[in-house]
Amino acid sequence: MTLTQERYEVFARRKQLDPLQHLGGVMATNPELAYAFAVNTFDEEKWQDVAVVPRRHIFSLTPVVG
Amino acid sequence: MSKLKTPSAPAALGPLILGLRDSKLILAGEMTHWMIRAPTLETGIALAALAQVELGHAQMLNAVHANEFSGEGKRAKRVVFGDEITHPAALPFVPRTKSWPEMVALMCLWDSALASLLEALAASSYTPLHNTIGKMCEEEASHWIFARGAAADLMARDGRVPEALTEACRALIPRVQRWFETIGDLSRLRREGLVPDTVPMARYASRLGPMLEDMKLAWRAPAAAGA
Repeated sequence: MTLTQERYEVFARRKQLDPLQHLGGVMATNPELAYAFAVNTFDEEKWQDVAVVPRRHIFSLTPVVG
Repeated sequence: MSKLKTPSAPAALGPLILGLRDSKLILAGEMTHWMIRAPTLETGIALAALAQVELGHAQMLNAVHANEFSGEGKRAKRVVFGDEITHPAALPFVPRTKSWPEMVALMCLWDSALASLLEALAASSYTPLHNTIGKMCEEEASHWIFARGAAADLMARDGRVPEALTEACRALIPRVQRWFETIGDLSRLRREGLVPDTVPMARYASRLGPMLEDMKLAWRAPAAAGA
């Protein structure tokens, strides 16, 4: 099986007007699985919103570390 | 507590609630089985959380039946793994899935069938169901995301893996259609306004249709449910 996983960064907010905060990352082969892994891995709080972003879609002038 | 709009409501709804309870219990058992056999640790963790939710739903449905239909109230026994499955719609799903593609097919086709029916009941004119089942529907939303992701993962793999998922779905379609036909008299419930709209069933069709078409699988939407 050659399907490769990639890293997704996980963001969430507690309440609707809170800013999104970065929680960490998960490895997955697609965004749906990344979301499912994220909500079940970072479940220490009852988040209002959880969002996942493929790391490769984060643009930065300096290399993203971590 | 709201009054029933039709005197026949308990007779029509009671077995349906029990069928959903038994189906949820089987799903929870399947998820628990695959929790330690899943392809990745993260998948196992997700399945553990999903199993907990499904077992909780089985408890809630059991309580709804005890409070609203059987009259047992708080005397009703709690649902536990190993309880005998008795509802004829759920019985064909008792044999355990034998492969991960079969399990993913079960989550895609059957878990979402349960979710669609719960959505219909959440919109029922029988108001004692609203809060309990509305909460279940909210929790079910992430189950579909997981199932769709797991299916996409298998379909993108090499070798015979996509074919295995396709075959598992092909084998499951008639069983799920039979489940819709035997879980309860849905057309009667619709006539009586207890399952008032066809939107949840149309949603089931729109959810699954594209995925099954990608697999070149022919299927018909659950007509008994009014889709």
